[in-house]
Amino acid sequence: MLKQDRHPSKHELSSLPRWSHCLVSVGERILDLTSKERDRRATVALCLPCVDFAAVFLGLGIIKSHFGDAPIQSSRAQLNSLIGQGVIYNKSKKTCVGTLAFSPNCGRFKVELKKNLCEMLDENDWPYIRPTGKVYDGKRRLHKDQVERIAGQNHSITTLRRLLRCRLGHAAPSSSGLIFSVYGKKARLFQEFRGSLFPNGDVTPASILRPKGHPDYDEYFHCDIHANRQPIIDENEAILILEAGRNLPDQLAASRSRNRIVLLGRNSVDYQDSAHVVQQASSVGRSEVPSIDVKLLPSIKLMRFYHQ
Amino acid sequence: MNFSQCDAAYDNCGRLLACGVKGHSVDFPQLAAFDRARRQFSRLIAESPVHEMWDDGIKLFNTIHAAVARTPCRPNWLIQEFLKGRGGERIVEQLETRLSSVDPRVSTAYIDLRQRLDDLGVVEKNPLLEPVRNNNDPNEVALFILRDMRLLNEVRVCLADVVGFRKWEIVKPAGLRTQRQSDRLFIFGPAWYLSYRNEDYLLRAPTAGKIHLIACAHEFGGDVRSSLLSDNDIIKITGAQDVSSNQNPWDFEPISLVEVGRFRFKGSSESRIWESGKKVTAIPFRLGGSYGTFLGRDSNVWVVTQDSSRTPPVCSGVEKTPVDDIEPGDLILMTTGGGGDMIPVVADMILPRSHHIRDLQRQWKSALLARVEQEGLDLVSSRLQSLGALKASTVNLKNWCNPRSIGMENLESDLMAVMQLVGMDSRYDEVVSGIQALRGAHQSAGAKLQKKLRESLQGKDLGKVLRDGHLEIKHGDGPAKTIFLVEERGKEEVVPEEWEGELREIDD
Repeated sequence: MLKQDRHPSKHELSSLPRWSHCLVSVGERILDLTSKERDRRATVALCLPCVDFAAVFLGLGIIKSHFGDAPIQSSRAQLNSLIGQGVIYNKSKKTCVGTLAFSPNCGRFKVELKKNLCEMLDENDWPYIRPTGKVYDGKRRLHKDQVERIAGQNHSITTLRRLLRCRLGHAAPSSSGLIFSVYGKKARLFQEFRGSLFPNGDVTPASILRPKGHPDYDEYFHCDIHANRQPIIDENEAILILEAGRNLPDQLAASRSRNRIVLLGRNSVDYQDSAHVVQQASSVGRSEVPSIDVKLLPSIKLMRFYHQ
Repeated sequence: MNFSQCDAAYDNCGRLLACGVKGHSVDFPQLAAFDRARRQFSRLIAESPVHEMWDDGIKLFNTIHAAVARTPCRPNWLIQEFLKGRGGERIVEQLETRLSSVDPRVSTAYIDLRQRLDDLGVVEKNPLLEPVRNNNDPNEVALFILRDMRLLNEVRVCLADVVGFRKWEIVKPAGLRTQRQSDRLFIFGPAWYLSYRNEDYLLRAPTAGKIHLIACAHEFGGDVRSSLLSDNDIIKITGAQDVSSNQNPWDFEPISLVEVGRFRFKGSSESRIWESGKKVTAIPFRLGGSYGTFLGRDSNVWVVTQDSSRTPPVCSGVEKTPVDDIEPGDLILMTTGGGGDMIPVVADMILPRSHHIRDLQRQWKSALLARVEQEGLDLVSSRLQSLGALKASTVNLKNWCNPRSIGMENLESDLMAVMQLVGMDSRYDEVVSGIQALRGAHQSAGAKLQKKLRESLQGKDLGKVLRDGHLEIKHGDGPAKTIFLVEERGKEEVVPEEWEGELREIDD
């Protein structure tokens, strides 16, 4: 049976393939590099069998590194930050939706449901709490599918944390701000970001990547996705991930002030031209090369240079 | 591609880089002799001032060599196919009438070449099949590359004699850009030929764990780099020595590169009466089945999405996609008569007796067009005005002749005048109700378009598209739609707006 025809077993959900970990590591190193070297701009070109899912794992690595140094907040502190907001509490077979409050009488948190009912919580219940975002305002009931979706995001974050071996995700985002932008085949990228990685599981990268344009992350997004033909918005310093296509020369010219990752798919029609463009760009860069120390698989080739 | 397929792509790539491609250099002495003779002949023609018919002869012999060397077809069958089936005999006859009037070296080379062709013409079995016979596995799924789908049936028959796989299919190279997976992939032709045809991706982004490259010894050779970011990553081709002595093996290849894209359209570029004179920027696409079309650069086209987890893949839906995003390997939906506008197709699904209504439309429009071609736009326009038409300007008249427009705004005066002019006034009421029904159906179709298209295509087996390059789908008597495999994309051109979406034959 072809590998693609098998659905992943429970065991397989305990790990991601090695190539995805390579890309996560590259994403982490690139963010580290760009944080340390603020006066230089680097280009990293990755030559891959195909560009599918590359932006997902690079993005996960970038986010992992971005939040990696954040001080670990206590469960109490994280619950405090959600007081007054709509939350879903989903533990074992119990799911309830309400507004998070604190009861000074008993010194415990609670989820205020309708008709003066409430669900009392302990600080240990923090992993089972998820903000509802804008969809719940305390007046309207959430539909069943909305509840399932948000509860699923919680599960997704927990699974991804385990797969990526990190402590990302549950923290209520304190601010929105672009960390990276992706330019490529928009429809396909949205599907990769928003869909589940496994058909039998509920592991959606969007729960951590928070792409702009997704209704759940409108207020607190970490990345955005654009079609390749859209001009590059040069108003911020977010890392650019560019899926190489016909527009690559224009994109490189328009993004000289940004750090960027160029993805070259060997199955792409434009592969030859894009590789040539990247090589030309590298030849006018500085002779010193950025240090990206990642052990890669033979199927992944990397070229890096400072372009500014 | 889903995540599992992507994982398989990395797996296949890793395996290929570790184990290499299995090369099979096959001895085919009759073809090698024919190859030497045709090259010598071509060189002499290039040096001599001769009639252009001799260039046609060179192209014929180069094409025969390419077909025999790079497909598993029977050589005797192929030669008959090219001589009798595709007009080669006429070229040969004309050359032979000119033999006495050319340089004796040319005529001697030609006679030698004909002898080699005759020697090849008695070979009944292509030796390229032997490596296939020796590499069977009844537990595996195999794919075989075929570039010219006109040879499909012959290839299928020849392969059926030797293959013993659990499942096997014949596919076009473009169908493998989007990572259609298998256990084993067989490619006929040397490595340099892959680079020449821009098919290196078959090795660089392999869709199978094991790849076999089968080529004749006299042209075996070349290499493919796995990554163009480095000069050193040559993909290993095991099992065969590079025995080709040709420094430029691609000399005298039948396909010549052209400036715009790699293909030309057949037929005239004369404008038709109803063309408005307006131009648009469009991108030419070569589609399966030797068709091509121009699609407006800023327009959208319906793309059929594949569920590649099934073997063969099936349709999972349709998506409106900007033309600028269309790449080789994509499957696009067009009406069989040409045109990316799916509204008429869906309208006909919901309109009773649509076939009869469309037929009526064709009748009065072609009658009107015939009058215009005979008498000219100005004269017909003034005749219609004398019959009571209120808006029979030449611009409107062109539009009324256009098969893609439904009809005129004013049915009382303008349509009546046209019906009287073409002698169909007794059918006026019938035509009016047909036009009104069509307009209503078109409006409804617009709202239901995506849903109806998805319903009609969901679950459709796409194996034929990936193999033949196209698949026609009919619903009752309504107009058919066709799914085309995009094979190549050309460079932008400025063309008449009426050319957008028209299907044209490719000059092969």
